[in-house]
Amino acid sequence: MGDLLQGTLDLLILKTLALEAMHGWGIAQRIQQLSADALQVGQGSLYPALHRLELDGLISSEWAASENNRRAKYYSITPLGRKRLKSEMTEWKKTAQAIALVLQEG
Amino acid sequence: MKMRKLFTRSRRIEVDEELRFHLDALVEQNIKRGMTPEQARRAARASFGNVESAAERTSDQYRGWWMDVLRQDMRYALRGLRRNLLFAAASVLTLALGIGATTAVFSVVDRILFRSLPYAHDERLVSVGITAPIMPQEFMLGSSYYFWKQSQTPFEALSSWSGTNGCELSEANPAHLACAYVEADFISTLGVGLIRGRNFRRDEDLPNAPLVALLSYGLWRNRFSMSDDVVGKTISLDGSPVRVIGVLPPTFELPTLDRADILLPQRVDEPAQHRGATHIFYSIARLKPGINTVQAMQALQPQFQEALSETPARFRSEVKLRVRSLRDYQVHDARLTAWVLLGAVFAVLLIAGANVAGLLLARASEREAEFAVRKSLGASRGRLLSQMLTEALVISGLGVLAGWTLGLVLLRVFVSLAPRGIPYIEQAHLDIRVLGFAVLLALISGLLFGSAPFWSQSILSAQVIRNSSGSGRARARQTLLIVQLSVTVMLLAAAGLLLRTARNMQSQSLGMRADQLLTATVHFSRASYPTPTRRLQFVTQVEERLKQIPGVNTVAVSDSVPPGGLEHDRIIGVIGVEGRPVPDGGTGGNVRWRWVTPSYFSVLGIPIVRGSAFTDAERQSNDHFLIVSESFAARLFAGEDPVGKRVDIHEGPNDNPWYTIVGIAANVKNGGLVTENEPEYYKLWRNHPEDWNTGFTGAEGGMVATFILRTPANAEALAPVVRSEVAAVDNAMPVDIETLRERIRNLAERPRFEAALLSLFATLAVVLAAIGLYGVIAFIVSRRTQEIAVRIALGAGKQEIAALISRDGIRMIAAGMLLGVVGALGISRTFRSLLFGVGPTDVLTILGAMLALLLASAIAMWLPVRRAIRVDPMRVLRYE
Repeated sequence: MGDLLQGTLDLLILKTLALEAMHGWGIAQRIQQLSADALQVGQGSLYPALHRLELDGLISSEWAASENNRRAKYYSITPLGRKRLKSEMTEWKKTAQAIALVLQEG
Repeated sequence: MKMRKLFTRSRRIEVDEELRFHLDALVEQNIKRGMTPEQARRAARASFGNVESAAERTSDQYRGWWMDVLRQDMRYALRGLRRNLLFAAASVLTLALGIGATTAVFSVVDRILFRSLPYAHDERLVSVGITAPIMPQEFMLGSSYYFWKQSQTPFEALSSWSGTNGCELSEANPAHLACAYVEADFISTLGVGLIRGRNFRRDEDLPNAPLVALLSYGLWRNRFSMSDDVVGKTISLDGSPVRVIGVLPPTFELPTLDRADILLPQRVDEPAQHRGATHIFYSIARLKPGINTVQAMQALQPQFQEALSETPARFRSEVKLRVRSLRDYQVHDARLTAWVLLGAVFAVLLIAGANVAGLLLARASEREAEFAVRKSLGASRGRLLSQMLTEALVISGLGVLAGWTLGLVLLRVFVSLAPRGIPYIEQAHLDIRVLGFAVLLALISGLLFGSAPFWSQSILSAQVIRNSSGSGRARARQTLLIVQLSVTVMLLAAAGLLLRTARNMQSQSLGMRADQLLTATVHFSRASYPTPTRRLQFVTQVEERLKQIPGVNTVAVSDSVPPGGLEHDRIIGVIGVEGRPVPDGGTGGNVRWRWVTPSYFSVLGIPIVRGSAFTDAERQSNDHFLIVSESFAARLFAGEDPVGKRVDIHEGPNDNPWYTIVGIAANVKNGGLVTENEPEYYKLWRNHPEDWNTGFTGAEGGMVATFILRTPANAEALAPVVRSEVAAVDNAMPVDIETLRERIRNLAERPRFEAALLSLFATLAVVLAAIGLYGVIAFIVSRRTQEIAVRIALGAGKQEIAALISRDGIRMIAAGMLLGVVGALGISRTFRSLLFGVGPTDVLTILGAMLALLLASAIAMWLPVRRAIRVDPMRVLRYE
């Protein structure tokens, strides 16, 4: 699958982080795994998106030691991020249902 | 700047590290999948893409984010203001008025109070000397100056100058200039450097040294086209050759701010001073570092005692030592005026600030619901705050722009209104520091009041939708309003006092009939009227011609005209009365005197209370005659009849003529408009050349004569006739024509200026306070519309509704007035010395101020109250 829409990537990142705090590599891996390799997140769009979400106050970050004891930047979701995730998910579901309805009609 | 760079750099390093971690993880994964490290690295790089560009894009998020936020906030702010144009206009206008008035006045006052003088380390420069009743400005006399200069300890340097005098550049194209006479080390003591040539040498400051001169920058530019070879050139000054040795910098000014085109060595004869000559020196000095004026005064005690020992014993108690900063010396009484203006302007700024705050608070109340909704939709607190601040700053920015323009206009107005003698006013301009001041003010008010909604916690919770009384905010607005109203009362009272001062000064009794009097003043230059005979001839001829003008019967000639003008002073203590021992016991104060012709008293309408006026026969006589004022007669002759007595007015050290007193004239206002009448005597200006040899020698040089005419009706109408009559005698003679009323008006110019400025501020304050009051009451009405509708529906009458709405307003007005009156009584004492004929606690003025505010308040409240009583309950309640 090609590039994700900006909003969609944000949604996926927030969803991933809602489970646990994670570094960029982990987020990319997790999205890939959960989508059964259907969604590949390019580093060129992942990191700008992470930093933008952080600026918007939806996620926060902190440097910590990784599994193999290296310094890595861990991101976690903020309460504001959870609120946004909830409303975005509702919005997404509505849109998805609407699209599904339209497609079934044909 | 450095900070930011550091900041962005370290961010870039962080981003790089983060991406490297990702790349390394990719490599590890590839190795786990069975690749060699080399292959793994290559594959990882290939799948990662361009690391550099990813890092770049990530870092770019920051700049982009800020830009987006700013653009968005700006768009919101402008949209919000467009939607609420009245709010925007009121805020910008209020800020503009406040900032405009503040910057304009600050620009004027800044030069007086805060500007540094154009001398090196000007804070260490002082004016030094002794003062006596006859010389209120500090000076030093004769040999004692040299003693001070040699023996003083508190100063690095002590130098002197001798004032300025008119001088003529007598070349192909003659020019009338001002020459200042200074000691050789005068400009080095001031710390002024020359832009061309060199300073005076000590040997050039000797009585018979060849003349050398320093040119002012202005003269060098206008007269010598800034040519470099002016140094060494010889010019002709009053007919003598003078060699130019240097050019002063453009910023140079004399300590007194007097005009000086040329500086010449004062060339005082020091041995003559030691033999008892009495040259008057004005002395300036540079304090040693760490010494203040008080310490300098103490250190100068030995010198002062020496000066006292030179003073006749009976005058000693009246001689004082004075050391004061050059700045104080320059601005004298302008300082108090400057502080009063500055105070007034800050008061206006306070009121304007309170208005803007009130407006922003009201707007915040209106937007509480909007913000609560947006917050529940997930807008962060920071974003809301930054939006409100952007809006406030947009308003501030527009306010600064409008205020700056207004400031330029106001400054132009001030300068054109300003009387002479307000130091530096011509040089006042809105400068960068003043702009900075304005921007700072606007920023502070914008930030402070823009964030006001965040002062109260309510906005942070969604609760606010339900609980929107905002009572804390309402209280804040009411407090602001009370402050506004009280400051307005103070300004009104101050303006009222100054207005009454200006009126009192102009309408007071002068002791003469000032209407229908025309004065024509001529200055005899030394070049065209070198001899007394020539001057006397000119005066006699003009006098004859003026008498012939239809309707004018008598013409008086004098060398000065009360109440101001250039009179002469003499110490009463030196005046001897025939048959009495020379008095001792002090100077006895001063007596003013002037030259007059016989018709002076009849033309000016000054009654002769005893004896008689001078006669034409006396004018031709070889004897000397005197008329004294009532107060001088009482002073000198207490109880005795002075008419017929002879006095020696001590015109020289010896061989003085006896003057016969022929009459006593009623007292006349003769010391300007403000001071009490002073004793005075009149010397008969006889038709003898000897009387036309002396006279006032001012900065213009030469002698002055004023023709005084009583005119049949409108004095001004006669001015062209008088001018042509003078021209008929000498058409090259410049003549200043003024009515006596104009002269008096000019003397009251300064208090009028102060009163005009303060009235402007008071008016501004009243308007702003009225707007503020209107805003608060209108807000109350809009908040309580439903309640009002219900009350009306339940049968409340118009009066009850009006009372309900205006109750708060009246309470605030009462509180504001009370505070204002207390404040006004407090502050008016501080400028007591600016007042004339009215006390600082004048009841009438304070009542007037209260009445003016009441009137404005009534109008401001009437509009919203009217809206309240016209509320239609049916319409309002239907929408509920």
